[in-house]
Amino acid sequence: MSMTSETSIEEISAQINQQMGFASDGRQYLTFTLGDEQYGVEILRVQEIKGYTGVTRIPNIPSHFKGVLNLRGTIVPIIDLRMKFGMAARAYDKMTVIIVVEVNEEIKGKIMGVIVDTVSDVMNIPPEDIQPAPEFGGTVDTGFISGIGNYGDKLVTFLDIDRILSVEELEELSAAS
Amino acid sequence: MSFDKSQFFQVFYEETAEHLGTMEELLLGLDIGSPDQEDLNAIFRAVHSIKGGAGTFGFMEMTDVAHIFESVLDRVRKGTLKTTKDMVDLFLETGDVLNTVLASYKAEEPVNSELGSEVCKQLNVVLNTEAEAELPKPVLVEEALAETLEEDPGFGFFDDVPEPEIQTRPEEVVQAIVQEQEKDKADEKEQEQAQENRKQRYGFSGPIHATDQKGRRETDRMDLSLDASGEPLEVQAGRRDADRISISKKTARVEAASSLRIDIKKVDQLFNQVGEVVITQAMLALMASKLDPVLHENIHSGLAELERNTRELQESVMSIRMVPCRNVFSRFPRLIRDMQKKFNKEVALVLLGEETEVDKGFVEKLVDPLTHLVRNSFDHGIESAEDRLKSGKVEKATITLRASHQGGNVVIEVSDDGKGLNREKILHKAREKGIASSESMTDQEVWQLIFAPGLSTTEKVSDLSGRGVGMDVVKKNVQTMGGVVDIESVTGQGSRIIIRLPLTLAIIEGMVIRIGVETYILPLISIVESIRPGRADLSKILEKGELVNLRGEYVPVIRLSEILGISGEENDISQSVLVIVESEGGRVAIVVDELIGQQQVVIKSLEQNFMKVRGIAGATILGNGHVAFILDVRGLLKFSRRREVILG
Repeated sequence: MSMTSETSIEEISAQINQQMGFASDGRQYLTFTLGDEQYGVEILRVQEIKGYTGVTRIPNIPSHFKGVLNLRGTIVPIIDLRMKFGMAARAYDKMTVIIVVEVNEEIKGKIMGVIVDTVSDVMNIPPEDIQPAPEFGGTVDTGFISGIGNYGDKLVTFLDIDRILSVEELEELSAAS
Repeated sequence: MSFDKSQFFQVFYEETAEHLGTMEELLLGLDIGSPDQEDLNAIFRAVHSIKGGAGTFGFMEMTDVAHIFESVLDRVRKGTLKTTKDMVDLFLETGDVLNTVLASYKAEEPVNSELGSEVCKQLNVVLNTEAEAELPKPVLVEEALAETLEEDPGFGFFDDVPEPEIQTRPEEVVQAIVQEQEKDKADEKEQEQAQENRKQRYGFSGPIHATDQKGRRETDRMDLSLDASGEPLEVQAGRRDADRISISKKTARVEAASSLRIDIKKVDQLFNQVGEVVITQAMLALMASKLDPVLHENIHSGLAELERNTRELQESVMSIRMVPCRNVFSRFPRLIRDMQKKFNKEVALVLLGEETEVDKGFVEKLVDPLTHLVRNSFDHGIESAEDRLKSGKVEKATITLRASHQGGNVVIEVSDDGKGLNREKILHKAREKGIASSESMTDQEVWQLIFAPGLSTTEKVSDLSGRGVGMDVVKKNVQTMGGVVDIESVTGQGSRIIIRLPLTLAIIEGMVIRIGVETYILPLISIVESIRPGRADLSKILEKGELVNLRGEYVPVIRLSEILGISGEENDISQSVLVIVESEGGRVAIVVDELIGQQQVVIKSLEQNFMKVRGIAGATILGNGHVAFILDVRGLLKFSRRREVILG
């Protein structure tokens, strides 16, 4: 598994499908980039990845919710991860990808999509290679980071998808509006 | 014989509820003087099935009641016990007790056994009255109970699952069936024979659950239970085989009325998938419209065919969700009966259009509003007998429940020939309660006032209605179903409440509109009309408040861009279209850049993966595969009003 930046969505998709069967130990991650930074999410949570297509904007909703998308008949909310993390916006291009993930809300999962710059790879990381999230003491919120680890020569930040796309956040929003 | 019974509990609950409903319906229709033998048999069969089911699952409280009930009914149907009005009352009461017990089982709550023992006591009194000699064989509870458990373990709820049932049958029956199965295999080529065998098996285990048009269940299973239990203490294996054969002959006759019990989730899933096909088809049509019709004639004709087929497919799937209104109406004869007894008013209930089909999802939701309306008619609408005679009416009043299809809607009316609504009284009450009203209001507007929370016009609060917590709830319930409520009333002649519902919960008629660059759907049911205003029709108050003159009525203009925070619509209203929508606070005009067209839209949940968004009732997928939101007009206007208060 090479980490070329030209890996196409199709190839990654194929890898995901191929490896779903072996992924039961939950130590496999899908990595993607936001700018120069590498991030990873547990592959078991990933339903599919697809190129960015237009979304329908939702009125009166915080701007990191880009809108909703028709995913084979289900309405799926799409979140711009850059905006969610407060990073600088970047125009969507051919490499822009929506990773469709399942957010485990206790029993019934919700399907959501996150917009990232590019997807990179599927990688196997043993749990002992993952360090706990560092503390920045308030300057950087690391609440949704489940750990960091090295892969090749790059640092990968592993995200806790349930915390990023928490349902509590939705509930707060709904109560506030 | 080890299989998990709990998976059949749900089926048992549903079937028992149905049996109880059938029983009640038949009891209410019973001619007490000379009851119809068929009806008596049907009532007996219903109770017998309940007993059998309850026995198998070990629902002892229910078995006990059903057993004594059955014994009494057995005497009744054999003619050794005469029906009386009190007896029918007791039977109905017993039905209520069984319903309560069923509800407790369902909720997995402890059963109030006092209820059961009380009604058992009363049934026992009836059972042991008069003509004891005529009773063929006095039945001991325990004995017969054991018999039941052994004899008909499967009646009523193994309908869809014949296999496990076979396991539960007594030895000889299992053998008989195994033999048949073997015969099946051997005779595979002889189709007819095999089918006959299958029928025989079906005749026995009743895999298909049938409800005939009269609402009376007449499956072979029932016939069997009758035959087998007519002489519950004498049945022997040999006899039973004979019974079975005679039953299998009856099978062919009733097969036409057979139906299948399907999990509603499966239907919804099917519905969603068909929705997808419809969208895909629309997508293809859109793409093909760019192709040269001469060069690609084949594609065009193929797509036309696809369109026709998908529409038919959609209609067929939709019809699966449809159930007759009878399911809603059937509980009203009982309600009227009880109320008559309590209030000493003679009222006839007329049910019309019971065959009209409504979405299954509406059935439960319609019960409360309709119950309230019928009670209202009974309590407020209909005068006392003396008053009726004084005003030259027949003494016995009539309440009519009518269902019909009108256009794309289901219309359900509750009408009575009572005194009608009293304009003065309503206005007076409205003023008293501080509800906005004026003498110049039209009748129609005055009638709408009764939907305001807290308005009740009855002079005294009665047990039935009049606490003013009804009509607003009726309206709210109907609105959640996407419907509207209208009132027609003529003083002295009666009133009519009309509920208009969409055909189904899952699809609405919508107007696709464009505001700025965004596409939205307005539910057609809330649209009154759309106009292209002339410059002269438009005026402003306080610089900001825009108004349009609609044939003399000034209607406020609402800009959704402000409420939804989207890039704006045309600034100059005279260049755009105004859609007049009806809402609680009267009419408003919504500025729309373009009316794209009217179409049926499949409602998709936004909450499933996201959350409820204010001003949006749901989402749908357009022909181009994009998502469009269905606007919740009421919510939007409420929101805008509140925001004005906050900002202003």
